[in-house]
Amino acid sequence: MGDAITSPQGQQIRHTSVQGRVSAEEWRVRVDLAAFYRLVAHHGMTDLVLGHLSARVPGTADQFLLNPYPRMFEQITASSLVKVDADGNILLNVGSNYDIPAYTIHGAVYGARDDVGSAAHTHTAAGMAYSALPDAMLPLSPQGTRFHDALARHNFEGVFDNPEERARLIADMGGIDAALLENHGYLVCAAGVPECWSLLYDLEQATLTHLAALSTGAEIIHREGALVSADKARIDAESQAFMAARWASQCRQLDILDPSYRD
Amino acid sequence: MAELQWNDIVRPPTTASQARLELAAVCRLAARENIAPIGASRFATRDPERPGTYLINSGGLLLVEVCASNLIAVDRDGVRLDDGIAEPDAGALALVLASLEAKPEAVAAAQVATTAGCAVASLKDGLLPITQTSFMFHGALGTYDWEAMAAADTLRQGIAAEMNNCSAVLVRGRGLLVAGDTLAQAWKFLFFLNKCCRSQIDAMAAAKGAGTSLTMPTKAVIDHAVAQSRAFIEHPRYVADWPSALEQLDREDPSYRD
Repeated sequence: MGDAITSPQGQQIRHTSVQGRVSAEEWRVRVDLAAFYRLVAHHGMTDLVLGHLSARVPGTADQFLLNPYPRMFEQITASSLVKVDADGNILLNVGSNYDIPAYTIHGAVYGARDDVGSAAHTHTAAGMAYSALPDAMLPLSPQGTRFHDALARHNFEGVFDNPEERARLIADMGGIDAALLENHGYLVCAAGVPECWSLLYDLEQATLTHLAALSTGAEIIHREGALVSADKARIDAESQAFMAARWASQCRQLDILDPSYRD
Repeated sequence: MAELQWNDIVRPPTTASQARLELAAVCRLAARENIAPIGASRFATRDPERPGTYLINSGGLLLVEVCASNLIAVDRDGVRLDDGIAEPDAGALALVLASLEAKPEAVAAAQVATTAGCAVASLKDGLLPITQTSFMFHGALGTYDWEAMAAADTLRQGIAAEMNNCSAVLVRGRGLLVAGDTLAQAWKFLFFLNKCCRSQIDAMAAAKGAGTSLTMPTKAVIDHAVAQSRAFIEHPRYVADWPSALEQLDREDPSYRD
């Protein structure tokens, strides 16, 4: 890419497949994570090349996969994902780069949460808008109900490149899988990539409804707490029941649009 | 913490053909991100082979129609070099040309009357320091009152004053004006400034509706984040996605190169 600007025709990077160099489990997670990047792009949740999605390398305590910064999310493939350890060393695809806040934020989550296999951080326009509001997420939609009383908050301290902020982030999350990073965006984490995508997508939908309702300035009818709790339980149960099928449907959509994420 | 290498430096074009290709790419990227109000989007870059000549998108084309060969060469007054006739202009062209004249180091400029950009430009408080993205511009964002009847030199002086220490200006009545040291940087300024304007409008509407106050970091945190954001803007990684962006256009519709 060194002479990219003088000969932009010739700078397509074609990563050779790493499928034969990683475990079958890692390859499966790589394909899922590449699909996650493509879905975030497809659903208009990118911020050019900022924001990041990650997955833990199966069977490891401290290794995770990140996007090869600064590739656009639309171009990310299973083989191009960068494998990073807890110290930020690149273990596979040496010569690629990653975004430093990606390492700081995602490394914090994997280091503190054994139950987490995937994490995502985005700056959508709506997410950033909500990040500047003090209001709790209201249960106005199925998605909003999912995050009602289930959205942690973390104060803005600056661009997330300070390792000392990691402990404060983890403490603020307190075991909750979704967090509002104030004045910044979202951070979600889950057992696997499909669950993480489900959280991120639903949180965006929840935000759009929340902002739309609040912007009317009209009185909002609040549902009774017990009803909301029961509703949340049903939504969570359905979400779990259809998790695999919905993820497969998303991948089928990608396969029609552009199956190269599997490369 | 491992040391990362940033060897790929994005530089300004050195030939007219490269300048044309990259400006056409900026127009297509803006269209792709919906930063393309019809009749209110003007982009310009210097012709590196002809000092004092600027390349612009034709006011009569959609941004998705812009390609390297249909960009128009104009002088500082917006007069087309090929036929000697002034390109029709409601102000956007005068603003981009004035910004390039005001900033010798700037290579490309854009003036787009986006919905959110015009809305924030109209607010007394302008852009608020409420999102990380806004810190790229906080304290370095000019404001300018568009005057349709102003003389050309008055406009140039006004923009020069606002862009003395800024690369972006909120133009009341016209929206966003940005100038970058590379085509890539101008594009990123436009995208990010518009993005934080969108978030601000949505946040203010919701806060007003709910009767709550916006969450704002302390001054110390703002100062810290602004310093971090300035360093990011000056680092090669700020525009390092430029080759990837061009590759994406090549994949989706390479006709910008025509």
